[in-house]
Amino acid sequence: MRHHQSQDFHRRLSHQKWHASPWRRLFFVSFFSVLISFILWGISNHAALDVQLVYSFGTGVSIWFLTDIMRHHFFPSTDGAWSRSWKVWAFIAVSIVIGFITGMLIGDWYAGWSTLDLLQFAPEKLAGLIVMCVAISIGFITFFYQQNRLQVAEQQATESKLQLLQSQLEPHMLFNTLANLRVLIDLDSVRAQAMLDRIIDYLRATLGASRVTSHALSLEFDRLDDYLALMQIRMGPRLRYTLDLPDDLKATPCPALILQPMVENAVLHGLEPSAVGGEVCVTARQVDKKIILTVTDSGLGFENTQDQTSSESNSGFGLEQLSERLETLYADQASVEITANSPSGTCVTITMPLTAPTNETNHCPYC
Amino acid sequence: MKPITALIAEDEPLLAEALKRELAKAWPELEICAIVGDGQSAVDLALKLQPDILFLDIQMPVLTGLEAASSLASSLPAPQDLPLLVFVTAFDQYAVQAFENQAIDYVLKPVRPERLSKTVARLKARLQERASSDPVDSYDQTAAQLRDLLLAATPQQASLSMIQASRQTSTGHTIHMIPIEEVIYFEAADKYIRVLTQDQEYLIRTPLKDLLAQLDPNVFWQVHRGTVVRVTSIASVHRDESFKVSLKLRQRTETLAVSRLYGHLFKAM
Repeated sequence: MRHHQSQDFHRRLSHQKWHASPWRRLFFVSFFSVLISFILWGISNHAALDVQLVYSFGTGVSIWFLTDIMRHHFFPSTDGAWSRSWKVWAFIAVSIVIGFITGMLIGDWYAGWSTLDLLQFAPEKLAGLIVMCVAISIGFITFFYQQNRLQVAEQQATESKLQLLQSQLEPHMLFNTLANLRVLIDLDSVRAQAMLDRIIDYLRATLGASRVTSHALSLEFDRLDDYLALMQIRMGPRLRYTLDLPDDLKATPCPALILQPMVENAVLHGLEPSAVGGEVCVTARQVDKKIILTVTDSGLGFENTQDQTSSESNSGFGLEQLSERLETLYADQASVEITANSPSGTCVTITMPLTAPTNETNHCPYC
Repeated sequence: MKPITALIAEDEPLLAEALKRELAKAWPELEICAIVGDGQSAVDLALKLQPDILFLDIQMPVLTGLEAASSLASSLPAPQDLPLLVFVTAFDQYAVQAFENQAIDYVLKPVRPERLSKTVARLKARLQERASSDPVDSYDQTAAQLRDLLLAATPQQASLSMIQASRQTSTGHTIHMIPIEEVIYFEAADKYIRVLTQDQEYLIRTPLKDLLAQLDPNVFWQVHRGTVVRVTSIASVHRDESFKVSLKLRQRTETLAVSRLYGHLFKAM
């Protein structure tokens, strides 16, 4: 079983590497170059095919080399995201121009004539070439960017799962959960079964082979319910919670496990260190075209939790990871805000678009 | 004869209940005088009810089991002895097995009947021992182990050379850089730590236990749960009739209280 999983994992990993690699993009570019050569060859009344191939390949590979390999070299942080920096855009624009010129020079060298001559006897043909080259380049860059972004989104979703798994397998959490389960078996076997079912659902959500980056809000709330029910068995009356998801939002897509770390923070850093505990409240609301998700706790509040959490500050990590994921999925369409709750505790508010993030896919787990 | 009493401090109600049930089986005569869910209540009730045995979960809100035990050890008036201590932990957090066969016992959660009966046998033997021994000696023995445990719980880190304290001013706030050599003592005050030099006082937010891990134990001594003092700044130590110990400082006028847990540090050569 374990072997099977690790094999699957490896396959998925190598698949991902290929999926995101520049060589795959080179393959695409080459394929397209051949296609364009044939088209040009066809419309130019079957002039020399080899010449067309050299021009297409020269231009395509030059632009690929500059916008992919060289861009990665100079701006490695722009691999998965549209850059806001004009420098990157200038670099890409210049790359296309240089790539085009290089391609033409290679072609001219091969064919033994000068494309610049077109300027004299057929300027519209040269203009057409330039427009075609720019259009194809933009098309490619957009396509590869989208693929890359999907890649990053999947990676972040996997990270969320791993983080969740890690927090569940944290020794204090795991052993205390098992200790409680052992007591319940003796005390109340029906509740013990219910608790075990929660654990199973939980593990399925984290260990399952699913690569979904987003799922319905109702599923997201189910996972929260599992976690909070488990914690409630452990903490008893020190933990009270309400989950409020209106019926018409149940099917709304939501990035997988995006609320989980926030709820965990509320419990572990807000309520656990407090002798009286408190309440966790998770709500989903629709305002205009946006969804507003809030996780509120009446615990210690981030001002007062320092003595308990300074050594294990994964709360900050959780929040940072959350904003990164929202940024990848929705760019500046989503936001996260952390405020103090009155009279005590913390409130995290996530605002995101009602629609699924663009280019969202649900993969078959084995492809 | 007065029944033997025990107090259980455990923040997870089901586990507290389970420990109580297992104890009822392993030691029917034992009377559970209270079950509390946090460290501070454990200290308060232990002082009030004076149980013979204290079962302390290690990870608890407000005060951890370890902090609760040391707070209790500090607050108990001499020559009263500590209750017998049994730490309960879900996993081997502080390598507590090093304390097997020592004054402080531990059990792992979930509590197994066979392990618990061993603990019960040990507790009974120790109670008998205590009836005939000097409470001060027995206190000292337990206190020494507690201090070791506390030390093990705060692994020593690279030592601090500068204290950075922020101070609000009318135009914003300033970070004061205080060389550690100038600090006379640290004192916990609510959410803050007061940092006292010869003529200044600053506030920092680093918890005392984190601070302790970064101080040279030969230069700074903890003398109270909330007080850490520079050894060379101590001018004299006074012990009054009720065994209360206090320190006079060289560079400052105030006197500092020494808790019983750290009283062993001050004995004449």
